Amino acid sequence: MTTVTGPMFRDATPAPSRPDSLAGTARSGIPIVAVFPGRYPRALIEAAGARAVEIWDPPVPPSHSVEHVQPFTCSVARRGFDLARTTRTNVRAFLFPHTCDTLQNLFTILRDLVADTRHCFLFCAPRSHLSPEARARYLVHAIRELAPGIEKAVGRDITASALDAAVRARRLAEEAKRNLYRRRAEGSIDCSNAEFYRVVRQDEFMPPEEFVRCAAQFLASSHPPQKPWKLHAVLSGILPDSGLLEILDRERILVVEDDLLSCGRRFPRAEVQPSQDPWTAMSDALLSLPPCSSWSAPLPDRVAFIRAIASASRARAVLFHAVKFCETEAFDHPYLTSRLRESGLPTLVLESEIRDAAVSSLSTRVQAFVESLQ
Amino acid sequence: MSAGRKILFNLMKDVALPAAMAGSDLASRIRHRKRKAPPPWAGPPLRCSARLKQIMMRHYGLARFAKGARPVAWVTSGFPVELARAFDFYTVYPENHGAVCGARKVGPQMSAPAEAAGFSPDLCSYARIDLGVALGAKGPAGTLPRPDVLLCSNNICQTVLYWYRQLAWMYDVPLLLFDTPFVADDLSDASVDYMASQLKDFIPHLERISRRPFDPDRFTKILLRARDTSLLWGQCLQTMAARPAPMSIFDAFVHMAPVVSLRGLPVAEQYYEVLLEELSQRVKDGVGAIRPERHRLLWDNIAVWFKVADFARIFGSAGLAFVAATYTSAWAETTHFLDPSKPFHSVARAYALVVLNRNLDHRVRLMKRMVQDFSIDGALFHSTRSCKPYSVGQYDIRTILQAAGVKTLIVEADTTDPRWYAEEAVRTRIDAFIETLG
Repeated sequence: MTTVTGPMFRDATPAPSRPDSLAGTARSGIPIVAVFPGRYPRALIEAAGARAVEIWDPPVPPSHSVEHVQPFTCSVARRGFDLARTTRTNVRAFLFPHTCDTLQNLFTILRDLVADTRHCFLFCAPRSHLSPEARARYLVHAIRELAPGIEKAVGRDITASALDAAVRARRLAEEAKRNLYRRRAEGSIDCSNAEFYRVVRQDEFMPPEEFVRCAAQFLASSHPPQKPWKLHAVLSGILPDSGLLEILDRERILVVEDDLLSCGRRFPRAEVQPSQDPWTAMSDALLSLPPCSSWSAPLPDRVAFIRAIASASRARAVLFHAVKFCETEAFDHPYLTSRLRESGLPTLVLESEIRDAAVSSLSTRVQAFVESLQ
Repeated sequence: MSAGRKILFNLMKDVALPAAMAGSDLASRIRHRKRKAPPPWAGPPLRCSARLKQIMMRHYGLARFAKGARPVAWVTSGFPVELARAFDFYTVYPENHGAVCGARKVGPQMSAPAEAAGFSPDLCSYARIDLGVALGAKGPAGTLPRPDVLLCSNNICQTVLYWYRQLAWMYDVPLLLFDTPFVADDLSDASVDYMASQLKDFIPHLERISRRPFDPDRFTKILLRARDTSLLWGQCLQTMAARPAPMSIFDAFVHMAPVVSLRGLPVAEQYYEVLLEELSQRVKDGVGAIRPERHRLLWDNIAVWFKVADFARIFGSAGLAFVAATYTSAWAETTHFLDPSKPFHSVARAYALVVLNRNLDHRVRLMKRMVQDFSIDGALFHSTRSCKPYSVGQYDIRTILQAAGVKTLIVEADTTDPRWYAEEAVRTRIDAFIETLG
């Protein structure tokens, strides 16, 4: 596996890269719970003394997945499955948030059919919006139901004090992310899209306190942009694809906010009043997240959210990155684009496999889009 | 609801459509008299088919006059429709309509308006057809009545939820979601409570939309009828355990329409009583759908609707009878849970435990049981791009069944979209599969 160097802070201190961080975790014997894409109660894993490491777009070549899943499944699922079958790190368990049908079935393939010896869990959040009380009650149950399995996999009980501490630490990590996004939206961070998302995505594998420290260092060393960007835009989709970010950097399009499942849809834009009960606090934190297709958010809520972040960040356009075969997102695009255009926000939908976006056709479409706005 | 529309609807229901049906029946009898004998490999056609055709034609025919006369609900195949029936909704099943369009080979033209509006051709083809209808496509079943409410359950897939959210926007009508958390292991009490509470929460909405108060007794009666209908359907399928099987799964794909889309109505129950009688008689008389029946096969997944007739011919002419399917049995498996003494909780249980809402080990066990009960020699897995929850996992299930001595074949296709079907490649694979069966 190629070692990816973390972003360089202005004081030239390299931030730990994902492989370095994971190697350190493995050396220290900290158990890992590998988490597939989606939204989940991360504090629960951290309260058990384990590290939650998320699997979004691992740089692994196709291997086992071709024998287990059809080619018409998305590359996020296929790459995740390949990593799960080949990883040799200290992974004790896999957690699958119930984000889509494919991940649901990958969970049961891994657990029930290929009989992976590690623990596999599915986290089902409620999708009904009819009764907020019933929804919240069921979500607390779903989180609680996960706990014994995590404890068994990790080999450590989740104590009340550990859970309290983990919930508090998560809130600090969310606050750090809010600061990063606020400064980015204000235009006071001079860095490429690729560099910004390398910092943001450290949250996918770092413990909260380490992420808070890295984010603070990054912000402390940042300053306003020296060279103007051609376009400020909101990016929507599953994750900030490295190939797409390269194209956007090349074309001088600055992503000032995002509606990405892996990033901007996983922290509330305003602080949530914490509940005293940690289980309710975890549930409240999840329920206060921005509207998401994977949790069947009403379409008008999604439009309202994208409009709000576009307005707050003074974005002039919205780019949708559709991962090939991702139904969860693709169904919403016609509605979102038509409503956003009606409100004066130009949109562009770009489709590719992940880690395969740096192709000329996407680049050409991005160039044409920028020209059409000038 | 308008009085004029109600009068017209009743006129069509009681006078015009029955008269048209009688005419159609007569024409059909004349055609049948002239029709050449079935091919040598096929048994005599089911007499019930004409009755089924009438029932479904009447259903789609009346649908054109339902708007304004009855509240109209568009419903997913896994939604507990019994609750909607208690409010006298006229129900339309877009999935069933998609299957009809697929069988008539008009899938791509029906989905063209949706694709032109930005819906990806990679999306479920049932959904594309239906979104096409919402955007103006006219199908073989005529115009579908605009919905007053959308009733959706994600117990079969999340796709229906993504799809119905779009319909809610397009038709500007409420969407009631029956959210059934995936049953990874055992069904928890908390999960059943969550689902039962949703059903109760639907009632004021359905009362408002239908302008009809909820009648618990009526709901109970409908529940019982739905349960009996599903049990009858299960008995019909069970007759195929006989050698020779009195019908094939390709017949069952067609005859399942009432249990899917008319469940809870007397017409569906009555239909399966008649069908069961005919099938039982065929079993007694040793009349098979395929003759001679050389090997018996299991079908996994939804039908390839645009290829049903071709597949029936290819396999039938080789003496291969499809006698079981995970798809057709889905409407018979869990209805025994329906209990009028605990209506909401038992509905929750029955609808949450359907095969697609459970882990894949459950499906493996179900298929192994079918292999035993129906004396199966081989299995065909239809890997359809349109249905990920049904398709993803088939490669491993196939390996497991192979290890148990079952010959297997995977066919990559789609439910209604022939653009994802490679005729030559599929035919070659089928021929090779037939050879391996000997």
